[in-house]
Amino acid sequence: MKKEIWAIGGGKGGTGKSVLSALFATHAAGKKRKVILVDGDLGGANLHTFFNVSPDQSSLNEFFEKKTDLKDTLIDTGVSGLKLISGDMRSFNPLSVKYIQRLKFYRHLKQLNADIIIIDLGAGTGLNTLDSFLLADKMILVSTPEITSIENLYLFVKKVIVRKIKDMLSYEGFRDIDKTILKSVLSNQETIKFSDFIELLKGMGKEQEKIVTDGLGEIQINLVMNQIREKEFSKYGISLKNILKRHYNINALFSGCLDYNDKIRELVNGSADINSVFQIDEIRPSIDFISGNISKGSDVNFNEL
Amino acid sequence: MKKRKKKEYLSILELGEKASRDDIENAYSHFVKLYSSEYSPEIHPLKEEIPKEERKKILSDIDKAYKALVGEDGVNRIDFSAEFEPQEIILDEGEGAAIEHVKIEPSKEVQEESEPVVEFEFTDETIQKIPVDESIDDINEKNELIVEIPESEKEYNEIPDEIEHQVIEMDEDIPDEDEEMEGSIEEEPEISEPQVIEFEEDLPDENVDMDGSIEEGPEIIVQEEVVVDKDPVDADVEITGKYLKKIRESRKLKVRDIGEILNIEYKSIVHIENEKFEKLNDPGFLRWLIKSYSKFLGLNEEKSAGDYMRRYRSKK
Repeated sequence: MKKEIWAIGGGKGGTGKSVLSALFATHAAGKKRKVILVDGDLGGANLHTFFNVSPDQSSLNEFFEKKTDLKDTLIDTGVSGLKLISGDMRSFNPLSVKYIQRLKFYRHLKQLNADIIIIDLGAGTGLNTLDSFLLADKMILVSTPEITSIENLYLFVKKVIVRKIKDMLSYEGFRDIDKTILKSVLSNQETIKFSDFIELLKGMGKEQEKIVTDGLGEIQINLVMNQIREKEFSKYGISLKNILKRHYNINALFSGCLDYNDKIRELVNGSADINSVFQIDEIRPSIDFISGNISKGSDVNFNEL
Repeated sequence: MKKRKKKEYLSILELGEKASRDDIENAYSHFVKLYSSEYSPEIHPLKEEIPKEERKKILSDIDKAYKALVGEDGVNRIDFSAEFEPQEIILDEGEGAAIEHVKIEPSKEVQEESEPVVEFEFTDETIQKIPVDESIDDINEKNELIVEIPESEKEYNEIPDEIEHQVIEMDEDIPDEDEEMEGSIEEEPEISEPQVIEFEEDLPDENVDMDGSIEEGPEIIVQEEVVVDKDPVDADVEITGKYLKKIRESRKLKVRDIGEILNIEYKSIVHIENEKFEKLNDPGFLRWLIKSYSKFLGLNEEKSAGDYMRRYRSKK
């Protein structure tokens, strides 16, 4: 079975990235795959609360201090076939992971014995988050139907695109992108439209145009709508997919929706365990459907909502 | 309609080749609603990105696609064997035998319909009737756009200020050194190929003057008391990057140590010492950094910052 890395991001806290990461992981483990679930933040931990993991077990610090192998940091979750790599839980001095360390972490992560590695990127759009997102085989974004969540999704996508293009241009030797333009594109007060910015980059030259176009073509986002309370809001997934394709020129797939469920609130609060939540009639088939779509690269349409 | 054209029309409606008549109807009304309303949660954040003219154009594309796929009077028996302009469809129920049914499966209810579900054409007039905010052309003396916002929609417009705060990263207290250093999103590690690196390969060598190998993790010495021998320092010497390096070396400290102690990336220290100003783009932060670094080395912070920033400004 081909090893795959799934990265789950979305820019805003509270959309459900951690919950979905944990549910996808539990689902895959149920299908007898070897799963590693990772607290992508590395500097902070939150996945352990879903699995009743003892806080003494975190040892990512030791890995970065070169005292242990990465495989020794794997924590049992109580779900068979599912291991957890948790962030730093103990220290008052938060683990600040540098770029080179992160590359090393991913190198070792990919060598672990697993079929699927699911990374919960956590909130935020820092460079570490963007790079981790771009390194994954499947890039998954979670949004709720609220305008704040959607706005953050667009911002996250913009930052991902800019990061990717800049890296590719930089790699080919093109470094003279006007920083003012970059900054204005990424703030809320835009003095230049994002699409115009992309045109500007392309206009720098024939080579640059090819790099930008290739870069955009390589980005494929799988969208998940979460915390859906009314059926009509599930269609936002189709709108968002359309907008990402038409206005940001990236490939986007709508993978499905997860309805709002009180039990999930309990999971987040630590008063329900992942297995019982996963067995709930409304939740399990949705997770199965969404996971399947992500795996197959399928797109959900109106008749499937 | 040629197959390629049909695929194009279907993709405007985000539909695949197997789309049914119902799918087309649903998609059409969904996208008309989406692009007509500036206040939908999906569109509102992109108000400037997708201005009114563009939305008009998109709506007309959607309409054209819909008509081409479904027909003027809503009966989806279209002659796919010849190319035609959507407006010229002449549908006659009696020609069933000559017409190919390709992929669009009409549902039973549809075949009884003789009218399309949505009847209007997208002329300029029609678009006026769709609630599009027209007061967007009002400009006040300060050259600011005034937008008349209906009461019910006001909450959306209040949100943008909050969003600016919400967009702040949750992990902001863990400084991302590269971002802080340059004050912009641009981060340029010397190893500039994050997407290209295969995890099994070794990392390329850095071309930066540094002590120690790339593969090592940080030497975490934050817990220890770092005792620095404070040699007397000449008060009249101009503090340059070179001078900072000299003092550092005299204290037997490596660049990586300074990075750990000051909690910044060691590369910044290298740039400071080599006076690579083009890599140091945030003067405010740089000044703070010079002060911290020089203070740690036992030098006068104010003098150091003053000297160094003078050199920085003259070269930039």
